[in-house]
Amino acid sequence: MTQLARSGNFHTSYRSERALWPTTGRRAWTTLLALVLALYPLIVGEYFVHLANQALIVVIGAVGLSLLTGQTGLISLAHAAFIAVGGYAVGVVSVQTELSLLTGLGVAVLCAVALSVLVGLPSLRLDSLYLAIATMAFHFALLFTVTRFELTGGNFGLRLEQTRLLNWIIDTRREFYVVLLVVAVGAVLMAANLRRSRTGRAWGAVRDRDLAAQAMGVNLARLKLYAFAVSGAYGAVAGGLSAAYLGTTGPDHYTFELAVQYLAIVIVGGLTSLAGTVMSAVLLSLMPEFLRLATGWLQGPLPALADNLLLLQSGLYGLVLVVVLLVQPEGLNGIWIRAKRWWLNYPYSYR
Amino acid sequence: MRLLQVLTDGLSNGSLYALVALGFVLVYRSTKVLNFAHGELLMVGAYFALVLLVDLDLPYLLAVPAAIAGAGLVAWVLQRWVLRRLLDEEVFSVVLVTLGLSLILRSAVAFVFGVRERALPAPVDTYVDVGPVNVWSVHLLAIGATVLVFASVGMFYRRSRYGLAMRAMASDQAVARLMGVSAFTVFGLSWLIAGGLAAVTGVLAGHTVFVSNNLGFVAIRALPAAVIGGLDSVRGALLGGLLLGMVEQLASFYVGGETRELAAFTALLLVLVVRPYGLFGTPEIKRV
Repeated sequence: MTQLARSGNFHTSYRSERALWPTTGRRAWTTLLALVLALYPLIVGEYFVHLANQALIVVIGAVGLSLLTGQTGLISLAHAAFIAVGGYAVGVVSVQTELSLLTGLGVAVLCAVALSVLVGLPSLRLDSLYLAIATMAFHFALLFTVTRFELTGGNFGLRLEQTRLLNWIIDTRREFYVVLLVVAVGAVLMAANLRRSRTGRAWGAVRDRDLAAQAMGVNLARLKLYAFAVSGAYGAVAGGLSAAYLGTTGPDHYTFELAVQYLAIVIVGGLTSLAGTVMSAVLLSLMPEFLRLATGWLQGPLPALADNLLLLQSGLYGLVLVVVLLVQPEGLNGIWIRAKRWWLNYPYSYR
Repeated sequence: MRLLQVLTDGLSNGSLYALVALGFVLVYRSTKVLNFAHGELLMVGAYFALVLLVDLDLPYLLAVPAAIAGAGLVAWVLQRWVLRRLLDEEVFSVVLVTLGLSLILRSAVAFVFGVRERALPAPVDTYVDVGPVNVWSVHLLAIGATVLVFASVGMFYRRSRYGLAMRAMASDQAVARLMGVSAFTVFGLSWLIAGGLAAVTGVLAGHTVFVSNNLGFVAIRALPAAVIGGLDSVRGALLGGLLLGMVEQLASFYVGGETRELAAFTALLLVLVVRPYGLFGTPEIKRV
């Protein structure tokens, strides 16, 4: 009997095509990842736990945007606004009442869903360009409105005293890591399940050609609004957790650049890939830290650069966005697929 | 009398918005993409003028045309080396690229010219009595520049060979290209003109507010004007801009200064829901 080269993974039923962990390899990698994530805070120092916490928050937000922009194909510049909704909701609940983080997040999600219907309405009639304008207008309108109220602390924002989850007062970074990890894993799993559900597949059809999808019986209005609501809720949770973690919230946290940065994360990851989004969210959220390290040796030759980290960061995000779109539109996911194919087909370039 | 004064201020602010909107419209008409980096071109133009006028102490009539040429060149280079590669790509990617460019330009300018706010002195800085109202000379300059720019752009569109090519591209890209209109020439030219126009607007904006790397925000505030007027209509840009200026001034006069931006963006959202192609734009019909 001749030994045949492995020629790929084949699906023999719709069920296997939709499976969450279809292959042994995928199962093994997931187990390994779970192990690493669980042991991570026990091994590394405080600073690295802090980095992981920030990355986890960005992962939650980015996964939400990838459902809207990647899966449904609706461009949104309002993601920072939803993150702001979450941040302010948790902030106000924590400052004004004695209720726990859970209530704050609940309020955040409710507000975000209500607002997302408002933002989603233009998407029923508009295509990508006009939708970008509408969501951008929403971002500025929301932030102008929010900073006008006494309740939200105006231009100064709010300071959160402590974070309480039910009766547990979360005050160390390691404790936060546990909370954020649970939420982030839940968020990613939910997104993965949504994507392979009936709704997710309908979203894919809307992305590929919305009118054709409608002709096949997909309810465009409902699905588009649903996508906005889900992504808004994800953004609100990310914003709320971020406000609780950092202990502050304010208009400076939710700039228009942030919205573009989240879009950059989704693009860099590869529009249609959840794993890619998670990967690029981790990588790009660590970029400020790399920059901070880099400024150590930039201080000498380019002091102007070192003094304006935030500007440098947003410029680099822009650069990454442009370069990826020009050179590698499929993002990290595309690179991964090509590498895998090269490995499987070696020494041939294709089969 | 107060109302007349308010309307005059609205007119001068509105003429600035109209100029910005024209920049959006010029690029949109030929490339079918809204240039989200237009505000940053405005800023680049203003900084060129600032360096030439203040740091190098050149005369106004030399410095401003040079700044216009410089910003036009920057815009052309962006088109030539970045956006041309995205011809026939999805609108989605092109929008994101212009957004990325706006971030890059903003931080690049901050590193080259610093983040300090600086004043861009106007050539004449007095108040003139025009009939019953008192007008700042800078506002008169803005209104004059707007009239001049719109007249020349209109003439260019109507009378010149390239204007004809641009109108052809605006009405149907595929057919125009089949008829031998070079897409690259038209795109390059649109960006060149829009860049020069951005410098004019940037200088005028720089006279009224300080020049900093946030000057591009003027363009975001003028975006409602472009959309309300209709993204592919020059006439719409003028009327939309003036309308926006008036409404903003009236809102801040009667309701309070802080409602200005909110009013503009709310109007924009409403227009997009009710009449997405604006007052003078062409409705688009989508087919499967």
